[in-house]
Amino acid sequence: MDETAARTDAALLAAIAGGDQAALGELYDRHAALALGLANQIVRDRGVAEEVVQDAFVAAWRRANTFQPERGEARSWLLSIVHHRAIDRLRGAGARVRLEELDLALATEPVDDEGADVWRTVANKLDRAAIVAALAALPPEQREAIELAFFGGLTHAEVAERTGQPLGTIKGRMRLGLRRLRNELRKHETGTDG
Amino acid sequence: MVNDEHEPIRELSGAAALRALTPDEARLVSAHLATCAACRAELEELRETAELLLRAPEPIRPPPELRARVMAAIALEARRAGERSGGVGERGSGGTGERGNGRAGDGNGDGELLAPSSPRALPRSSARRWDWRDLGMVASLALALFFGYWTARLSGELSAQSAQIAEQRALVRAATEGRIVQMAATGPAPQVRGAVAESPAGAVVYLEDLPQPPPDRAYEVWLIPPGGQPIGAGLSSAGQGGTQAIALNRPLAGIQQVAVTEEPARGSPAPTTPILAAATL
Repeated sequence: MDETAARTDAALLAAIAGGDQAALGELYDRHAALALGLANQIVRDRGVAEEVVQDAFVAAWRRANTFQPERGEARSWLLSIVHHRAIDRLRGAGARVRLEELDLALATEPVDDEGADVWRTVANKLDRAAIVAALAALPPEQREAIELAFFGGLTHAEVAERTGQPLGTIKGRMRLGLRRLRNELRKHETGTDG
Repeated sequence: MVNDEHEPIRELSGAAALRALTPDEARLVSAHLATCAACRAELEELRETAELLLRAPEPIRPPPELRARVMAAIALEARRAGERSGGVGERGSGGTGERGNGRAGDGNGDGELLAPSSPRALPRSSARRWDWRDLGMVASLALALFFGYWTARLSGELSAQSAQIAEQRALVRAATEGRIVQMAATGPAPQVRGAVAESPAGAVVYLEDLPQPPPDRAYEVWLIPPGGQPIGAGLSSAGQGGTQAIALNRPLAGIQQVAVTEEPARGSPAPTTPILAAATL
């Protein structure tokens, strides 16, 4: 129970998959604040956000054996569950359909080139400040489109409606915005600035 | 490389990475991705980028009770899994084969298989009746609690929160060291099943298959001392049927019987309707 000193998140998930409750507790201690921040950003209600977090950790417990380290970091896996759950709470579970199919398609064949590996190494090390800064550096309309979708749970069509922009424009903003975000954050690859 | 087949998919890639597609679009995209490595690679890149946004919101330090709730839930899950599989660590999609081989939707962050209905997928006392010595059943009820009752409560009702925590703890302890007494349906709803779980941390009444009461009505738990009047000890959420867990606001010491009736949502001074379920301690 106490050789847990510096286990990685992935190691914790492996332990959790084996039924180690203390490992789940440790994972919680590491990421619950991030999880609650994320949930709250989406559902905009602290009590509901706490419920989402609780659900998400129970979910993580039950699904730890499905975590695939080669597909991404454990923290993102966990936070993705929180994200799903929070969006479900926001939109109703029916909206879930739209979330799953793509995961399925992507899961069929992980992209495993070197570029992806480099990116992951960089991405895992990025701190929150860098992410926030990169997001803030986006053109406002791109940032808005991204945030309405990702934190507001809107489809791109709904974002278009909300912002009064044509559908194509919104799709473009989302795509360009994410590309730009990636390029911006990629600069951290060299470790020059924070 | 750029031809008409890929372009509509690429256009959607940003929205797809942000999970902002309609179901139809998602199907369209996933069908294409299944056969197109280039588009898959592009979307994967954007998805990884979008994943970083998960860490953008300001962290919020959770209240200590939340950890207790999570750990209690996990303890129950573990117990249920152990009970069902004879100690082999089989959880989630395992066991009864209701979810195929676990490959589907195993993408990182997938949440589909965690649908609130999963606890319901447990075999519900098919061979034997409700047996509260069956710890798996305890946990399955607890899960129903987590995914149904508990999550259905909105934050406006958080006054009951500490009771909720007590109820989680009571469940965990009752499963190991406390006692659990079955409740029998006695009235107009014979399908109702329930139990009283008591532990050093407090007592909880669990009820399943309750009829849905009108919006301004709820289920109230009564504690009846020998020869005494019923004492109101807890209320379910207004207008909620199905599975309910009601944390009791007093210990069971000196109590002979526990009963449940439907009452106004704010409770009654004394029972006003026929008893739905009861237990003798």
